[in-house]
Amino acid sequence: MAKINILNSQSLKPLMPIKECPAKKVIDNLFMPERAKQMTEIFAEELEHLEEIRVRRGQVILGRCRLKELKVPQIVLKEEMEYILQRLNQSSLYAWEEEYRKGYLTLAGGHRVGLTGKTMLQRGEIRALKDINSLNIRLARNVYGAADKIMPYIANKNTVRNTLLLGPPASGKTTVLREIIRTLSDEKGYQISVVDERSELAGMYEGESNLNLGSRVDILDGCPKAAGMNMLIRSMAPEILATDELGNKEDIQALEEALAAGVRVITTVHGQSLEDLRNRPVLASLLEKHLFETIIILSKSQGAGSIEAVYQWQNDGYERVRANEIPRRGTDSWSVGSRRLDLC
Amino acid sequence: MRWCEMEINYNLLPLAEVLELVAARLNNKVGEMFHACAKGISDEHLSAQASWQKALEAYLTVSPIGRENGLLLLRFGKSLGSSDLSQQNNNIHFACANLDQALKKAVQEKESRAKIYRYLGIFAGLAVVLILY
Repeated sequence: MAKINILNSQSLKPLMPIKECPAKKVIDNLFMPERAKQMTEIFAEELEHLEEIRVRRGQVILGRCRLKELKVPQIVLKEEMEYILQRLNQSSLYAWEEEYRKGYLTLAGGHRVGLTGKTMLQRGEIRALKDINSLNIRLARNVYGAADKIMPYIANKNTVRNTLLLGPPASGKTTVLREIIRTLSDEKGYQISVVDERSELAGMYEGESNLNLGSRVDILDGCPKAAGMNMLIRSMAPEILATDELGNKEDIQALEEALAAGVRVITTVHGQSLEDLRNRPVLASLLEKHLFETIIILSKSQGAGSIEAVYQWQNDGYERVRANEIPRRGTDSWSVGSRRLDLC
Repeated sequence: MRWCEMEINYNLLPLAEVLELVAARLNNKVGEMFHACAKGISDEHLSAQASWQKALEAYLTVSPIGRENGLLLLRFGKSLGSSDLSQQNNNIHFACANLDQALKKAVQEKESRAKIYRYLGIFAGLAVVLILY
């Protein structure tokens, strides 16, 4: 099966000057000056496509982009890790306690930093995370055109289908969702409300969105999804509600309430196949009640954003879309070389 | 210190912002020290401890607070920004208690010295009277 990597498309936007590149900003802000210089030189022209930077104490730094892994020599020592952590928490650990406890924090610009270290438990629950030894800096960016090929399954002239993006971590779900929201907002004119629990979709910082979600979007930042969805339906009267990474029973209940209220929903879930959903007690109801009309499965098999399959609810079941049913577009700005989307 | 505690507890502001806010309220040499510490963190990318030490050392050259109190403030800076909220509060309380103690001691010293100078003045006056007559 040929797959398309929509996030690696050639076309998306002119290369931005290196000083404006989000990855460069993150590197300059978090790493010691000599290290930042070294990383910039090694990542070079891949800097703009950088998807994540992995920093582990006692190991070399690794950058990942477009299925490539770039090594930055010289291992990370304790002092360097401490410097990075101080830059991350702005020398204010007390202000990030909750984020440390959850194992991640979000930087200005929507970049998410995952943390591992020693967990401190209290009555079986994680109370704190100390002695951080590993960081995964996931870089957020707009990939314009990333949703072009899947938009026909999500929206047509008159309606928007309730859509679920399914994929494992780092498969491009959030980036594709961001582009779906922007397209529906800017190009189709829908009023959209977004619950951005982890500040990854919009990258809100001091009340301003650092990532482009379009001009008809209201963003509820840092709010738990279930509470946020209920709040937005009442307060903002959205036509479409979007949120990232549904996971628990409360999220599903709020989703059902939104659908019952006539709001269209677009969201994401971790998983690799419909089978994965069926096997998870909380999420199985998504399929049983066929809450979504379109399910798109993403992977990173050919880089983040590879489309594995598209399913649509029809004839009382989820049917996998055949390649020849894919609507053709006049301009095919996202396609990579001569490869074509072959879903079956 | 109490202002720092308030901003940290109620607004969870980053340390550099807390220090700048307190500096703006103080508007004196101590305020300048807080401002210098904030700049060290945000502009020079220094750790909170290193920035505090640098700012404090500069302050001690123009301040009469003495070595003992200087060491007290230096110790306070060692935990700055690198501990969780409850530990940060404990450190602020500890530093405040020590500073209160130091202040009481200074006031007592001032009062006892004032007494000595008053007695000295009286005795000197009496001596002058005795000499003259």
